Amino acid sequence: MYGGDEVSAIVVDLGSHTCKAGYAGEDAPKAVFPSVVGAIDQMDVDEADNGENNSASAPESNNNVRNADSDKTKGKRKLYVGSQSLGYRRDHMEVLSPFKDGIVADWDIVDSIWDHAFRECLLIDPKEHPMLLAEPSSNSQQQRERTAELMFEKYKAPALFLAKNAVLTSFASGRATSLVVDGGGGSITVAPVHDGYVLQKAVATSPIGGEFLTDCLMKSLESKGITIKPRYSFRRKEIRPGEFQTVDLEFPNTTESYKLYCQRVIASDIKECVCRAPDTPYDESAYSNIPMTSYELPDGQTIEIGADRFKIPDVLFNPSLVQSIPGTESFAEIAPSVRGLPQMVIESINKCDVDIRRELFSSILLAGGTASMQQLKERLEKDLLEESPQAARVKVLASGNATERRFSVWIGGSILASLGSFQQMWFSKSEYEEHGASYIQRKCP
Amino acid sequence: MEAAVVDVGSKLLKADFAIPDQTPAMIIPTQMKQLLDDGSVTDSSLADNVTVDPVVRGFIRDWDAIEDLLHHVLYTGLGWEIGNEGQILFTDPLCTPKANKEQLVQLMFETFNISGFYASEQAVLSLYAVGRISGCTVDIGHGKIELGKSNPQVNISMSDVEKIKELYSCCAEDELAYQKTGYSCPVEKHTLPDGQVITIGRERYTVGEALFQPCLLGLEAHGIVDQLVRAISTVSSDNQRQLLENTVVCGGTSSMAGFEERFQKESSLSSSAVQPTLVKPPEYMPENLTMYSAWVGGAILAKVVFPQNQHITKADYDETGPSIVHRKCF
Repeated sequence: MYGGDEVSAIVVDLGSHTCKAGYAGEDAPKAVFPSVVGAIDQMDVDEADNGENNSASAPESNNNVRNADSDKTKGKRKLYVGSQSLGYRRDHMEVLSPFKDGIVADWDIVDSIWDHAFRECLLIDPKEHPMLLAEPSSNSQQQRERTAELMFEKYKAPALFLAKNAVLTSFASGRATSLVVDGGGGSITVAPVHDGYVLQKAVATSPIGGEFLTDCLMKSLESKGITIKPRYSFRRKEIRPGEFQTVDLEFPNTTESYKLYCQRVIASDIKECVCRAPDTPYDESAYSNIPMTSYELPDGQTIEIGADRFKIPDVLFNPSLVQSIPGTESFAEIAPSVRGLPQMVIESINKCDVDIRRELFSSILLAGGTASMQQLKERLEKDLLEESPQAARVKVLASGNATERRFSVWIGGSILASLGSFQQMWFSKSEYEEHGASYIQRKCP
Repeated sequence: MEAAVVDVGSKLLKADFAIPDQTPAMIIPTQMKQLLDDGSVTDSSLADNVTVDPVVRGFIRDWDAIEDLLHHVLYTGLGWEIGNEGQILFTDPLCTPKANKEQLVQLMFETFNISGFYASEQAVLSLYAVGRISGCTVDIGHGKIELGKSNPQVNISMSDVEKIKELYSCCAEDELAYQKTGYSCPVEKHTLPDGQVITIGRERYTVGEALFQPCLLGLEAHGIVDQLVRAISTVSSDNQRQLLENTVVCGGTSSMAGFEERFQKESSLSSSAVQPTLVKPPEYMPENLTMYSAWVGGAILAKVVFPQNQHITKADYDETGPSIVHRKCF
């Protein structure tokens, strides 16, 4: 048993879009940075034109650079982690995610992200702090054991605990039983929590997350002739005192994935600024004449956004809307199987025991960045009232504070790891050495 | 007795009693020379090479050295008497690890027997110094900047390099003006302690230019204005305007000639709907506020937290231990 009440635990929530990390007991994570990393294969670096401005002329001296020795098939590569490193354009740098379909597919990237969080952001030595890690509700046993191995073998963590995202969100709101609707970057998950445990069979997942909406917005803007210029591709010049002009810059060795990443960052900001869920299902004719909203792009160009303000968010409720957005043909293949948010909620509750359905309907929790969208709570509550059984008393709950809603998984972890009664539940290093990684299933059910 | 305010930087330690409208009385180097155990100083060439840096990049690394330094500051410098120690406010760099904070609290209460403690972040204190409670702080302090040498044969010590940097470095008007210094620029002559005369040409502009074009030194990073704009773009859009329009620049390096003008010019070229605007310090504040704005902010804050009993008292510490710092100082 680990006696961990002397030192603060570290809470890490590695989501599909953002990694959140910080000390247990605090009300917000200290570190928030992208879950994707930049990667340059070593072979490419040698061929790069070192004379070119902005090329990787001194790769050995970079901050946040780690050499990752991975499988022979991957060869050596340099990984660039964190907003600052990722925000600097480099020739031949690809943008990679550690996840594929919500499951970790590249542990080297996960390792580099954790390393960045601990040593660059929090400035801690991981062997001095117990680690509480948030994990997806459908995480596999193999993934959990790999996590434990990495934490104990490489980081020498004194203790570890894995907790499901939905359980942590439930804790953050002070409830043992609830239905958690977690709208993250890569997906939306609906998970019932009963007495602190996820009811696994009723978990529902949809690939429509915040990033999908951002992509829809980008394609819609492109179809109207609006081009989002990545920040690295232009600069302002003063041609006369007080008079400025934007000059395009050419970087032919920039990868497509990096360009897309930079454009997404801007489109995501547009989405967060102007989008809100419509009160009723989106109707093209009803919204064709609504007033436009202005948004100034980083290059100084001002764009006007009209119906998209309501159409894009409504995709969460009516996925078939995607087909009316030009350029989204690739989504057509999976469209028939994707259900809207209200349907996901009702189907999930209907898979639970009859005795707890009433309680679940009255404790629907919204969490995650995508769920922080304006008017989403009101719309979801309205739709559920219309579609749920007559006897159910529907109540959708969400923190009024956008930060708390966005970071509710992390906050739940912060609360859990600082509880006195939790301290005996840690999976300690000595238990790992005695029983092995598979013991995590017993210690962290 | 007034509370003491101590701002320990990588290069300079600023300390005095909490009188915000005055320059701190003690501004001394943080770097120390190491004496042999018998107290004697060996010949000067050897002693020059045995230096101790208690603070590295803003964080305390050598606790024994910092204890000696603080002993000198508090008892010799500020006139504290054993048995009659006062209250103290420390500045913290951003992201100070919790273990560091606890260790400092423990040192102050157990070794120095202080009667009260408070700590606050340097960035926040710098905003207080100019009368702001919301905004963005750009702190450019001490760091390892290496000057390229025009004369490879010249043997030059790090302390001489520091002095030359402080005397001569400046910012070019803009990027184009910097490029022109490659063809012609004013040359300064400097006499070294051993009598040698060296010439300093373009190097003096390169020092300042590196802040705006880090790639000159082979660093893959954006210039400071770009970094500022990018950092602010990650917060909620509602707050971006307020933060950018209340930008405070501080730290010794920002005193460089031409820095503020260059910063403002780069701001007007930044890719941001809201351009960073520098806040001028109030007129009643001492000159050269940028050198020690965190200290001034600390002095202002000390006037509030100690009289209102928001600080850690000796009784608090005795009851809870060092972890009290996380609940009472934020």
